[in-house]
Amino acid sequence: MSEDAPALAIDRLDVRYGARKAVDDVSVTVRGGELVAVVGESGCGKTSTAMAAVGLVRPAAGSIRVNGVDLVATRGRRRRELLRSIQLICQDPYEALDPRFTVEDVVSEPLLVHRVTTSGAERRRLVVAALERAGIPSADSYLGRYPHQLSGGQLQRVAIASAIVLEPEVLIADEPVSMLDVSMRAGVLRLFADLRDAGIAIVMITHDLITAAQYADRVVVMYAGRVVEEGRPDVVLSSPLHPYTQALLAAVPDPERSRDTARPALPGEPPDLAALPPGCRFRPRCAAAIDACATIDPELAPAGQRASRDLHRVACIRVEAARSETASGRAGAAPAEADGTRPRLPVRSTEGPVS
Amino acid sequence: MSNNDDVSTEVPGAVLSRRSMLFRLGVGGAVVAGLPTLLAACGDSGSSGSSSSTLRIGLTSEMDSLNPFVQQSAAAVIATHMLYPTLLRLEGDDFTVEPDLADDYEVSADGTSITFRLKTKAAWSDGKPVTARDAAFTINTLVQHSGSAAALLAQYVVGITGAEAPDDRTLVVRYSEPIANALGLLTRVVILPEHVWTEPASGDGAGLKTVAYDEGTVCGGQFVLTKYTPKEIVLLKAHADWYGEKQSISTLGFVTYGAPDAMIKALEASEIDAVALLSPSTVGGSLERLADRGLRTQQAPGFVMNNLYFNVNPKKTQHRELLDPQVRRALSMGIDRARIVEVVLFGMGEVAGSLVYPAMGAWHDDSVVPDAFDIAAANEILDGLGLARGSDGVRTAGAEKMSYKVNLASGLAGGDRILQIISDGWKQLGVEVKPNTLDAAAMIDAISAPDGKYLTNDIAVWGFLPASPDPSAVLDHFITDSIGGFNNCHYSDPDFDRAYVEQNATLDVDERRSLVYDMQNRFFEARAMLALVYVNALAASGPKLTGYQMSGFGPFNAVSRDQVTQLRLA
Amino acid sequence: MAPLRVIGRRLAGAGVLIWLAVTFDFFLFRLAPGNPVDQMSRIPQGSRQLQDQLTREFGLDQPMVVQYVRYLEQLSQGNLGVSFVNRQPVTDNLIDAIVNTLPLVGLGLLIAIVLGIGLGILAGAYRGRPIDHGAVTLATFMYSLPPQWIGMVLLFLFAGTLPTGGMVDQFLIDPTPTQYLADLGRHLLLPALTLGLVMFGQYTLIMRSSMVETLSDDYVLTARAKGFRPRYVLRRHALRNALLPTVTLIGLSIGAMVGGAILIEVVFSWPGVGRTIYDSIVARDYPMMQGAFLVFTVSVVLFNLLADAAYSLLDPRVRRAGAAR
Repeated sequence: MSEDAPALAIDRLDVRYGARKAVDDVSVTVRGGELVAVVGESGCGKTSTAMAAVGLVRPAAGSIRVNGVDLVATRGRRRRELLRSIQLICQDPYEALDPRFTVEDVVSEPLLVHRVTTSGAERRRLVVAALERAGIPSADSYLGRYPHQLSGGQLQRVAIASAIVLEPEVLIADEPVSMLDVSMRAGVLRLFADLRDAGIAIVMITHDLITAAQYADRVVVMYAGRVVEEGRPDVVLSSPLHPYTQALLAAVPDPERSRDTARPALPGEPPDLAALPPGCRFRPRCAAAIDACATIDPELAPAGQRASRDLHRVACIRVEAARSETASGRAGAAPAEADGTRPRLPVRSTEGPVS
Repeated sequence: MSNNDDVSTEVPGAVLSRRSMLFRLGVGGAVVAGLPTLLAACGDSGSSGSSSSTLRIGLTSEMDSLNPFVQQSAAAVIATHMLYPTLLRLEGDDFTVEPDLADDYEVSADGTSITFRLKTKAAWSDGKPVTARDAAFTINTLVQHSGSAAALLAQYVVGITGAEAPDDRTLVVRYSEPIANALGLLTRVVILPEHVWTEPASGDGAGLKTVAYDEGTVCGGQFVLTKYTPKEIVLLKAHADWYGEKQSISTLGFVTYGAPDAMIKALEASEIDAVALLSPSTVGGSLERLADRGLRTQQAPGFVMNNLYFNVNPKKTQHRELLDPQVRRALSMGIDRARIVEVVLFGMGEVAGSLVYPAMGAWHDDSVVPDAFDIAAANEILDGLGLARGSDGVRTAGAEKMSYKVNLASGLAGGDRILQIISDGWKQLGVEVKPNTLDAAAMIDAISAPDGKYLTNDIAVWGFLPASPDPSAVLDHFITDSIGGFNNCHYSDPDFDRAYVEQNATLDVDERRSLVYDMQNRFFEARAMLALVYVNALAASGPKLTGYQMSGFGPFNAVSRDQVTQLRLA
Repeated sequence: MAPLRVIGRRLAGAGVLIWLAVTFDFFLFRLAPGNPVDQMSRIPQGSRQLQDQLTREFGLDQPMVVQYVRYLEQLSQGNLGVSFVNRQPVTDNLIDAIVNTLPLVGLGLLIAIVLGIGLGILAGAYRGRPIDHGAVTLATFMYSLPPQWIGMVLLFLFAGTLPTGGMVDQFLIDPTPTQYLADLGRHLLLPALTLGLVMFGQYTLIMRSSMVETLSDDYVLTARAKGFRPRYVLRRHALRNALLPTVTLIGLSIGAMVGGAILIEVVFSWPGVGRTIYDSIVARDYPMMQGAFLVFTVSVVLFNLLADAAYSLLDPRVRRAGAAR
């Protein structure tokens, strides 16, 4: 584990289910203290990426390095040790906890399995600490409760406590608030921000661009198994370059516009992952597509001359064309008009995780 | 012999019919060859298995009760018979009357009284002597309660007015009129100990039916009871004070099996020593295999008859064409009886015509010849009666198609195959068969439906097994009084009824025979019942059993003692 | 917590259910074709007189409603009546049968549970692999076979090695307790194995689908993602939760097994409740039929209650919900 290695480095990841390419050549890097939001429709490969990252899905190609150690190439005890460092938070807190386990059972189980301590008192102290850190006050009184006696927000906090009790470097949160009441969401999201501030690398899977914008340090937009755009949230949201990102933003309801003038939703359906079209996989739905889009499969490339940390990258040949035409690298040179209106309402979706 | 009954189940094995169970006896012979090692290991604790005189007989019927006033299963009747003395017994192929508890007997000239001289050395298992008073008490109890508690046994004391014991050795039985088969019937009456049964017989006699049997029960026959569990076993041991010839079998067990196939397997595995009666249709295909295993099978002309019954009640509401004897004769000619013998019985039987079996010896009239299978002649008769074929080839009679629901007893061994052969033949006559399979209880209901009025049934296929080799045992099925009982045809003929009473009271054998010949001819010509096949009795035994005597009722029945005394186990 | 009230209500419900079943059986048996008197009186010379006599004796000359009220009166005193066939108290006949059936059902169930749940777990854990296909095919195949056929095959295979019928060797005289038990065990093996083979298929299928479902539950995914050993996750999380539906099914099936081993008892000449039911139906022995079906009904209802109780012990959600009411 090299000192300067990122906490999580996903490199050229491929995940396949039979002929379906759920994840195709995806690379994402997250450093300690960084919160990266992965955004996209259901079926875009974001959950598969997360599953691969925590070792639940075996990648067809690519590497997943945690502190520089490749999870894919590691086996046995070392792999299980490695998995301690990268924890998963599931979407549905009502399903994420074993119904027969009390809160204490749930949170102390990782300590027992990984033999963190043999002292019962010490274990209980760690459990209470994790619960309190996860935002459950007077945690003592919750220890004996069963999941069905807790609210959704409390459940998610217990799930988070059981993830952080092992002091992981990376948290992967798959739509952590989508199943919660709206009133609970902000609190849980703030908790993730706090954990990020404490130095944990966090990947938050979401379909909600607005949430991403509020809490993330970086946004990764995925479409049909590919990353199509990546950058700082303020940049991506204010000046989206990829037509898909633009369409996503346009679909966010805007209270300032009346309903009947709301823009039409993105036409068509995402492509069949088992039979991808040649060229750009967004082309069939893209209003800005040109003939070349049918033959060239665009790579994710820098959209400007910024410092690498803030790099805004996009996979679209129209952007490359615009860039070479103006040679200025200005972000505004988008193929379609950029929608500068910043949406304010979060999008609520009931879509389930992609498995 | 066992009581009379419909063979409502397959002969050797089945469960349902009362008293036909006789046939389900498996005699079991040998000893320990295959008896589990455990048995051998019993050692000191006393295993009977190492004694060569333990005979294990397989049955497929439950021993419902050993109480003679209650028991319905023929197997149980046989077991009970072994527990008590009888005045007389029947022995040999021709079922000759021989003395048992009675040393000799004398029938009065007018046939209305019989005087018996009893053996002196007979004793009950509690040590008390068996006397003529016990016999008189038993007979009088049966007569007194013949309409109530003793109704099941009433058939054996028909015509008896009373019995008395002038002294311990002399018994006089009095009859209201001469009974031709009086001695044969008395072989079925087990003599009960008066000192035990006086109390239950008091009052209305209801107590007779509640007497329970266990190892303490006072007996006086060839055997005494040592263990009785209804669904498992009746275990008997030789009675030390038995008055008759000593048998070599010291322990006799009747083991109950739930399925005939399982019982055969038990015989092959030497868990039992013999199976007394098997149904040819059930095991006909595996005889060679049994022989290969060293098991011996024997057969003899038997008393099981499979029949087709027409409802001939003149008041029947539908298919009244079946009331015409000519139609019934044509249908009889449409049945390929030889094929039934060959296919269903595997050749172990005979085509049937007369109600009186060939196995009944001289009572059977050879001139009653089964109807030959002759489709052309049968069609000619039906055409001649104007029963024209419709467009579908099925004849019509009046407004009705000649398409009949045939009630088939589910327990009749090979019944479905028999009905198939009948159906194949009748199809060529333009007559359709619709099978309707029923169990015994439902069969009785269907035949006499509705409510015992015999109006709706057309045709039934069933079988029966008479209680004794005496012709009365089958002739009485079709007297008018038996409607509601065995008379499945609702056959009613005053001349037949008169002849029945007359032959029953005719002591001269030749005279009686001519009456019996007339009756069987008359019944055959009526064709109310079509006798289909006589089924051979079939038995199997293991290699160690000898002295095993085959008869039409099988190697075990409820009237012979010799069948037991002659058995030997190697 | 007011579990007493809950239990009381459950018991009252069970009582009503049993009464309904008893009533239904009573009338069904009498209205079905065939009756005991016609069968028993079917002997020479006896017909009319004997029929009347038996009808009176059995109380069948009374209107059916009167018979029913008498039956209920009897029943309320714990008296099941007297068998038409052997004239002994139904209770005595039944107790023997129940005592005989219990070891058969017990061992059969044990075999079914071990085989069924074991295979179900394997199939679920190795979903989609050859072992899964093999287990599912075997379970479906065995489940679809007629019980008596399985029994016959076993009987033919093992005749000579193991006893072909009965509960004990009746010719063992005064065996020691050890000998008796060893003998009973040998007799028990084939019928219990048959029962196990008949029953295990459905347990396998239920256990497998329950495992498959549980294995894709989020808490199992989470546990695996935490780096717990697969075997630990299987045992500690998947298995226990997947067992719940199977517990219910087992509870339901034991009750039915007590009366439902009919064909197996017939094949192996086992003197239990199944044989009693079979024989009493054949003879239309109403008191025995009523008694045997009462046992059957009570056992189904009782094991249902027990399954409920077991379920609530195993699942905290049910436990709390029950207590809260």
